[in-house]
Amino acid sequence: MPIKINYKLCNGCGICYNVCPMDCYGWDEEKGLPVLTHEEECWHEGNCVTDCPQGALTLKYPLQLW
Amino acid sequence: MGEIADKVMDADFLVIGGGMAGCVAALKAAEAGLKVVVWEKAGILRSGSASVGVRNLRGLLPPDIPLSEVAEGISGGRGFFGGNARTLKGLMDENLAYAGYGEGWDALKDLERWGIDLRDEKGGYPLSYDSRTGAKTMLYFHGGSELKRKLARRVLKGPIVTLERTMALGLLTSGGKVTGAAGINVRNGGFFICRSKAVLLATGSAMRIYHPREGIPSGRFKMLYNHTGAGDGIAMAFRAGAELVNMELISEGGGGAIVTSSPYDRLGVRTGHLLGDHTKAPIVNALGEKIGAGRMPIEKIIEEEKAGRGPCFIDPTGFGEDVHRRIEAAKADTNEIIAALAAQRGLDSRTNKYELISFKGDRLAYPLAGVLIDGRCLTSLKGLYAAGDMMGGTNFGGAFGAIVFGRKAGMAASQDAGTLPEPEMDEGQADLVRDEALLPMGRKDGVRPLELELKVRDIVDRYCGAYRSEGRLKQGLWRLHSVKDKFLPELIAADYHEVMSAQEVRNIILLAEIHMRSALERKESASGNWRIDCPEKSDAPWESGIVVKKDGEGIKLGRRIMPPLHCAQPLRKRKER
Repeated sequence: MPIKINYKLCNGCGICYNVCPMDCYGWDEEKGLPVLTHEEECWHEGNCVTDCPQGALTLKYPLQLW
Repeated sequence: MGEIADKVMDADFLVIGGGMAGCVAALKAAEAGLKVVVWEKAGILRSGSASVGVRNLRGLLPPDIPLSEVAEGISGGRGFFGGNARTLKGLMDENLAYAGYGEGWDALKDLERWGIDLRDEKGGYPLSYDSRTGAKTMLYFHGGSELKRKLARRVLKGPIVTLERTMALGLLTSGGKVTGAAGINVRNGGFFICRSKAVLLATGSAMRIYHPREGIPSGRFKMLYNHTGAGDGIAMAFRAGAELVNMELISEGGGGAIVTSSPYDRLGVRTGHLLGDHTKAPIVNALGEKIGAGRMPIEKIIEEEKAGRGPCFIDPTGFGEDVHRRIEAAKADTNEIIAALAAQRGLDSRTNKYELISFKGDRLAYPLAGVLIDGRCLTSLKGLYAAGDMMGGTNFGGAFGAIVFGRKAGMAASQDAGTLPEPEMDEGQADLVRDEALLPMGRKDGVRPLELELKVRDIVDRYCGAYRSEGRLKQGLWRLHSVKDKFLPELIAADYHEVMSAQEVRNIILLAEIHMRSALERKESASGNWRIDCPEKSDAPWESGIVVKKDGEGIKLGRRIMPPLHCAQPLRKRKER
């Protein structure tokens, strides 16, 4: 799991859902929050992390790239 | 038409791909009064190769150098183009690079008008040395991570109509002219048709026909390139009947050879920036012996490996303070996350050696390999233009190539829109495109797009790659055909996201086949195409480019000499700065 969403900090602004080039995020309509739906396609460029205004996302350096 | 599509739009100029080239083209054409529609497969604020940022613009002509000197450099295969250009003569339309150098400052001026100011704190444009050529034509600037976003925001302001998460599935044609495109929303499956007088393809290079440098097949997308680049535009252009060129060539590392630093140790820096003559970057072997500095032929690195003295490294402790500073500025401006990840591992760019690992092909040589264009970005099909890294036949690429040629395409479409007829459209075409793309959704059992993509990459990696021979290429093509025949009809898609992935795989398979067929045709050994069965390296320039075109359901290969520089119509005098 390279990306972690901290739902305590996430305010559902939707920026991560909008910027992810690979469309790894989905949207939970009921809760109004992002969810990871195609995480295996993440290419670790980190746009979602740098653009998150809440600092709710963390990207872990993947083992494969270590 | 309204019956099969959720929405039918009309435009003067449809831009497919909202990266750097697409954004600039759209803005330029909208300024000229064209009705512009942009389709972007991802989200436009962070899409394309520039999504993570741009470190520099490569190819700005210093004000004190006259264009005549550029012309001489280009024709002579030296100066502004370094040694490689000599062997690539006949493969590049020299007029494209010449125009790139001639129009660079005008393009910068447009950026400034759009609120993107790249000047330094003193109000100037300090040019630096280009590692590839040694010429002082590289602009480093701050704020590179904002460049693409600023352009995208400008596009989103309107009156340009932007559709995000919308993938073009195929071009629509009528009487040999491109009349629009059919596309799909990759989240909800909405189906769109855009009728347009002019269509621009700006979807980037085909990154995904090879495994990433990391060499982890199971790693799917874990690489540090823009991985939306499946070569969609190149494949669509081919299917519509446009000519492609140089599709056998793969990209080289920054050192003028297919060698690059390990992405694990990249620390947010590209090798190309380290290996230039100007940095005099010391290369050491595993014993710590210095084997060279700056640009280094790949043979030398391989020699060390074979002698048991590998791996080799770039040793940053030998850099001057200026190089360190530039690296640090680049890290702060772009690929922020890579620098942060390197910090997670405790790596320091001033002391950690950069391992040189990769002698593998990992992408097409952009923008040498791609859709053949003329000096106005027009493809061989009427109404169809191409710009950015999916262009073929030039080496004026990257971010600045996308800006300069995106601008050219926008201007060409603006000029042509008045003379191009209102697009006529055959409803059946769009219907076929949609049905074909949706086939995987109707199947229950089969193979997922990612599985098939990885298999195709396996084949291209193993049988084509950096070192080629007739036997291997033939075997690879046999395997590719057998995988395609058996598994393409078995593709399944669980949702519209996978419909996109399935379409990408179709494009990847097509381009992999074209890539390997072209490689089989090309028997010379030189940078970008090493034939181990034809090892004679000739200093003589390659004579002609391999041009590929659709022939019925097949692929037709031909040879053509790319135009040499003709300065009969000199570019207008550059404005003094």
